[in-house]
Amino acid sequence: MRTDVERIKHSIELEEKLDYQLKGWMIQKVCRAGVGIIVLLTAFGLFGNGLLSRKKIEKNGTSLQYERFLRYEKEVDICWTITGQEEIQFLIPLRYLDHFKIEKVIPEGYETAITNGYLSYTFKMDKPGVASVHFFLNPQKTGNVESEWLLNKQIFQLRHFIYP
Amino acid sequence: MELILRGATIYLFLLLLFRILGKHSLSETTTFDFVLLLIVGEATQQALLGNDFSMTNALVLITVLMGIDMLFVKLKGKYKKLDRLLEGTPLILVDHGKPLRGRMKEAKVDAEDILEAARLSHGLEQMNQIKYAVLERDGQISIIPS
Repeated sequence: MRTDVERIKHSIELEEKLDYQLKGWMIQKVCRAGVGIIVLLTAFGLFGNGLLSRKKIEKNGTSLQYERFLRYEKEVDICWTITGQEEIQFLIPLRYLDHFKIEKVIPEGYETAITNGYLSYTFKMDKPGVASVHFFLNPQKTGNVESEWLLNKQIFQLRHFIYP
Repeated sequence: MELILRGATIYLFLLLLFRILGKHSLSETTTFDFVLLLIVGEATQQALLGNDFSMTNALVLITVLMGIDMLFVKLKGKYKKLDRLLEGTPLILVDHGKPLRGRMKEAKVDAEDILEAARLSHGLEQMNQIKYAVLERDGQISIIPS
């Protein structure tokens, strides 16, 4: 506790409670440091769009980029880059889609179907090359989401935390 | 229910944040502080209303916010500790013409603020004409002349 804060005797009818003030100032200082830390972590992506949030998975010529930390109703891009496949089939668990609304899938011109608890998207390519597929999703529920997408039977694990 | 949660969360968050930032004297409030408050209002609007811009939503939200505020006023009246926790306590900054530097530093008030309050409220010219200067709970500095 600070000692350089003057203690005085006064004649005003006033509830000063200096010890309470001292405690309050100390708590304020700690909380201000907390605010600073939160601002710093936000800059690093604790609430999305930053180093802490960005995830990249690479497997057998396929690259997946997504955000770990999402915000309620803030659109997110699940970006896939696939090389050397003639047919690309994504299987997205329906349980995962409980948390999201699919806003848009690029490129268009795909086939969809629902099978065994998965929503499938199939893209056909003229010749094997590099393809980029974007799923724009809108988070509809808050909390932790963990799920496995299948891309041509390869498993990719996605983990999100959706802030309210 | 969601609307009540939204309203309560934003209310409590702002209450906490403004309490953490601490009171500083009203004379220190700048034009930019008011602009900042407007921005805070704009930023919270979306979180409070969501995608529902109906009049009912707005009316319910206003009622919820006013209701929470009324509740706090009642609780503060009943429980002194809560009142002190949320509003703070007054603080003497000048004692018989002597500025209490340690207190002023903690409260982020400088001698100029006190002299300004002394000039405005009593037309005083010097620090030694002040018996007591008190930083009130609402951030105003009240002056008791010698």
